[in-house]
Amino acid sequence: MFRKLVAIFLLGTSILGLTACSQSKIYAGDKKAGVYFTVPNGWQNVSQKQLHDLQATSKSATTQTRLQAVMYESAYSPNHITANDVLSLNAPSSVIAYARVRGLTGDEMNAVSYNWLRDLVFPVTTWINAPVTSSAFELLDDLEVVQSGGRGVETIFKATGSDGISQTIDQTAIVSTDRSAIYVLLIRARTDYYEKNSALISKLAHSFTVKGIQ
Amino acid sequence: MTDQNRLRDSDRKVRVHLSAFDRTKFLILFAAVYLVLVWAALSDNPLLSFSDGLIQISKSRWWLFLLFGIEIVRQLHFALSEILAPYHGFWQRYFSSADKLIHKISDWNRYRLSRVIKGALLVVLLAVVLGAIYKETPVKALFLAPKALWSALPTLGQLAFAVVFILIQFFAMFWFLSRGGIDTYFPDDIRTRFSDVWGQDHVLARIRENLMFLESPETIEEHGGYVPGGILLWGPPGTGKTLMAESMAGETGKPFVFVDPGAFNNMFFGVGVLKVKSLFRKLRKLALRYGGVVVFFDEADSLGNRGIAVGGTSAGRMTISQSAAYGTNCHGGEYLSENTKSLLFRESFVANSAMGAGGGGMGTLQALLTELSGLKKPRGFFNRVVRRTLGMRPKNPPKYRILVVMATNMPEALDEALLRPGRIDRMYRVGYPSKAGRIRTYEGYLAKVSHSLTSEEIDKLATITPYATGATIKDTINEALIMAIRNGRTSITWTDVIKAKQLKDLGPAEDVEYIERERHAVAVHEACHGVMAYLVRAHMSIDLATIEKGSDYLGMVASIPPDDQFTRWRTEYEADILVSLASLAGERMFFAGDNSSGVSGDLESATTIASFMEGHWGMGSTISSHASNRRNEVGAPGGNKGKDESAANPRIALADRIENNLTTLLSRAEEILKENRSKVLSLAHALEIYKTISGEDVTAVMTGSHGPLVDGSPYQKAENIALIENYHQAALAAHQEHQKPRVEIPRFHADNA
Repeated sequence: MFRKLVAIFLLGTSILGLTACSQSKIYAGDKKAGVYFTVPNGWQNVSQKQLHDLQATSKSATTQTRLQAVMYESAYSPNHITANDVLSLNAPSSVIAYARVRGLTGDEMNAVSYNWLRDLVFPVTTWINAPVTSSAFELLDDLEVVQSGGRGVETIFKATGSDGISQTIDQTAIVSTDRSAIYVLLIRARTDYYEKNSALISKLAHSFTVKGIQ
Repeated sequence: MTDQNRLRDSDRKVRVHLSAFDRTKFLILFAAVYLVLVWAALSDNPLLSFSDGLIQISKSRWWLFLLFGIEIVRQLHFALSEILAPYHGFWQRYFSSADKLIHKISDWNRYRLSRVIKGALLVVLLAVVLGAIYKETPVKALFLAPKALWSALPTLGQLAFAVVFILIQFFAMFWFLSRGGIDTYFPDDIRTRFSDVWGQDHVLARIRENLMFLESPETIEEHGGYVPGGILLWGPPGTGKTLMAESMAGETGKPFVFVDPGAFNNMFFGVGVLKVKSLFRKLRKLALRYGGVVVFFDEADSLGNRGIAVGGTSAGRMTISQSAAYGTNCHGGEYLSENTKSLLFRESFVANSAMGAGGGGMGTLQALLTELSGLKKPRGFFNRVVRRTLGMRPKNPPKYRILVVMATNMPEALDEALLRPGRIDRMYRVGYPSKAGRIRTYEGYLAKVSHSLTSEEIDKLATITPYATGATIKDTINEALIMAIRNGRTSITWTDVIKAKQLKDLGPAEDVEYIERERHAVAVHEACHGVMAYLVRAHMSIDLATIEKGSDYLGMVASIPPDDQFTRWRTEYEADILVSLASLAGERMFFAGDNSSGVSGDLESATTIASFMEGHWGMGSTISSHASNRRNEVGAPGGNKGKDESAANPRIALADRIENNLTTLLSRAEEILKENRSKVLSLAHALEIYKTISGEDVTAVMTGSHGPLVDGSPYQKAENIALIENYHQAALAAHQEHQKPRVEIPRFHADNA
């Protein structure tokens, strides 16, 4: 009988303990868009609404068209950041991870290629093919990524922007199997921060999983 | 402590220990729901680890842990109540008032209430699980589930069709196999009435009573009784059991269902059971529609038994001449009384066969027993399923008024359980018709043909056929008609009937002519039986004597009882043995110590009767029953089973006592025959001359009177006796020398008349 009481007590304690625990990481992503990634606990989130609201102020027709096609976007950073910090492309104080899923237009579908994917945010292929390599740009790695929801490239490079601060960018761009959507994870970090936390950033980049639109 | 009774709940100081399952069932349920939710989360996010999944669900479904905690507290409360008497006592007092309130609700309503609560809980849990799967609110998810089910219907339909198609093949096969063997007659389909059944008035009176109760059950039910539901008609073959059932069908205003004897025989396991169930479904339907139904199982022994033989009485008229007890010798024991013949037959049957359980087998009998008086469960799909599903109490089954009638000539082959009251309430022996019944039956069948028999002759005919049944009477009259037609007549005479009776009793003669010395030997053999029977047997009258060879006998002295008698006495059995032993004594006496093998059957009969007298019926020198001794394995008196032979034992072994009795009776038979030597030779002479003579002719020879065929007066003259003796001596010499007798059989003046 005593053993039964102890067993019941231990069971109750373990259940209460379980409810008191917290998850080991933040599970980000969206089931409908079919995209998942993880970021370390404690990182700050810039919500899709914040990002949407900022982009909605743009006068550019292209931006507005693309904004209409966005299915999911979200950004995380260890520091407190704003939507402007995410979208300005200036070097962050530490690191910003920004994920976006967007539907493609007919023209874009026809234009999709690995180079097109590499050049999605920065003119990477232009920089690579330039006769004299700029000291501001350095290609660190270029990998093909194949997942169940699509395929694309992961390009890691250093670049120095208009603010003169070098940042290391890990850009994964994947087009869905039916070429109807594009999945982008753009991780921008100050180069010194990146060099110190390359394992963490690499883990984050490799958690980027595309299952396709559900 | 094994000698202590289990404590009542009110006497307990602590709570009864819960089983492990009862203690954990809700915890297991909550854990299962929790794991399903975790599984749903893991399937939603391929990156989610199991441990993070557990944590995620524990945070988002916190109420599940609240329930978990409540259940743990409840179980702790139970556990403490199981070990701490004061704690338990406190709560007992606290909850007793609540219990009283709850028990004010009837058991049935509490059951329904608990079903509603459990059902609601189940729906809530289902909604939660579906909500997790559909990523919707539980209520909305509950409404999405039918949609998913609807979309899956085509697939489910295909599966259902495949299953139904396979099942249909089985059902159709068994349905076809379970058809047949059962005929239903509706009122007025049958014209036979009770007035067509003759000679069984006492049984008919009882059956009428049963039918009356079936027609108006309230006459007995209003007074607290119940309608007898089963009748067994048993008795020898041909006594009118089936005719009686047919007349029931004709008399009753209810449907009559006739079940063939082989209806439940089947090739496949379970078909018999299906047939029984199908039969009773039909009976219930008919009983409801018409207010009652009669079902008749003909030759019910075909239903078999499960190896339990009851002590039934076999009183049928056995074909003794074909039994192993007699072989193919002499006269087939026809001179014995009917009871003795029955006894001998039964002994021989038991000795030479193994009783088996026959019948439909494979659960058929058990199914029948269950249907006859099994649980009266509620019937009908709506009643059993729909009402129960709606939480309504099923209606009590109606009273199905089914009268089961069974007929058999082998009641000992029926299962004991079948015959118990409640299944078969009344058992009627349909025995041989009384003399009045036989007269009525003869009159009935003779009325259908042209005949010249007077009422006195019909009365006499009924007297000399004590074991005639409706079937044998019908057959005899028909045989007599055939004989009349063969002789160019259309009207039956007394002679036709008597010849037909002899033909039926003895079978057709083989028209074999004995050689003279053998003819004389057979005649002397039968004459010894005849004279002895005439002299010592008051309980039987000689019906006929013959030396015409039949299919399995050389000659015969047949006897009939002059009146109905139901008890048998030692002197009667001794007389039977004397008649049996007369053949051996006579052959030895008349053939200079020689005897034929034709006495073997007689000796077997005599030994069997003597064994029963000595060992069973208390008619010997000891009292104890051999049957009981054998059953209890104590040995017979004087048996010396393993005992010291030198011990002083005044008693002798059973077999020795039987032999001694037979030896004594053989000596008596020899004395009687010696005293009546001339009568034996006279009767043998009459048999040699006439071949077959009646009992009256035997009397004529013995008394010197006139018989129907034989004039007995010449046998009273000394010179004729001397001639017969002379002929016998010549036949004896011929027998010893294997030659033809030198003297012709003497013929007297009266013989030529």
